[in-house]
Amino acid sequence: MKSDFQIMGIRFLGFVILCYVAIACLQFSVILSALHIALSLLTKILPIMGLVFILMMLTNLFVCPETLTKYVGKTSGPKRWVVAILGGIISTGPIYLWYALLKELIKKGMSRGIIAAFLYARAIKPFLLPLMVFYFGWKYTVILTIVMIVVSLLQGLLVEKIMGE
Amino acid sequence: MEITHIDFLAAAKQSAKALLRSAPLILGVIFLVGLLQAFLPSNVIGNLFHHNAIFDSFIGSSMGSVLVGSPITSYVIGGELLSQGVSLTAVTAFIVAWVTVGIVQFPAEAVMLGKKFAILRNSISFFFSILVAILSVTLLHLI
Repeated sequence: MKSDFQIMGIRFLGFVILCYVAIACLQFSVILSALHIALSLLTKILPIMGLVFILMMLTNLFVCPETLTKYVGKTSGPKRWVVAILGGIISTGPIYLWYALLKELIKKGMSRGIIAAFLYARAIKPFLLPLMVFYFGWKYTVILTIVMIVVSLLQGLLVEKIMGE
Repeated sequence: MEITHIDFLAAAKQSAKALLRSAPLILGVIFLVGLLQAFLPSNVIGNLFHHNAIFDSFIGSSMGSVLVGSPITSYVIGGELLSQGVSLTAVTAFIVAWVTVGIVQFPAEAVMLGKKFAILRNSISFFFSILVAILSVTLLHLI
């Protein structure tokens, strides 16, 4: 069964193809040029997607959402921030799955600050770093990743303070 | 932890499925980028931004907050915006907001984790996407 996200993607691709067909009827040379640009971009990205696939597979092989959630829930003290952020970084899968698991943790007394830090750290995707390096360079990727790790902690602390937990 | 070939195949299948789910959207974006580059003069998109770090980051964050999809898509769009002359600060705010602010996911987040939490988290994430962009680009130039 196709997800809403997949259906949206297929519709979007269909819309873009329709645009190509419509413009091809009016200005065929523009379409040739557009196809050349798009295929050149695709050729550059495809090898990196292979690396993304391998890293994604390794993450899926070693990280299980249920185990990770349990571990985040069991840790206490300052260590819980480290576990939440690391957990967020290595977590995979759709966000909706995590909402359900995190809801259970809140019921068990987990602070919303920890949840916020976890969700922010999810923005750091180790398996997508090669693609980020391809577009923006090593130095930028390293700096942005470090800044985001620090900010995920800040976000968690801020949410915890505001929520009065 | 012992990993069997069945675990390996399951992980490969899961990863392939995840990438295939994103494929139509990524392909759509790539072909749209090709069309826009062939159609529009290279400075049109760049002119939407005003080369003011805070204002540009605000526009970038706003765009990233409302758009949805795999982060791969945001890198493709961000990379192309950069090549069109958009500042790195605005592009950074865009890709950070894309993954940290979720206007589309907001209703689900509010129901599952609480409305107050969802509003607070998304608002702080929006503000932080601007801060992260300015800080990261400043550090990039300093180091």
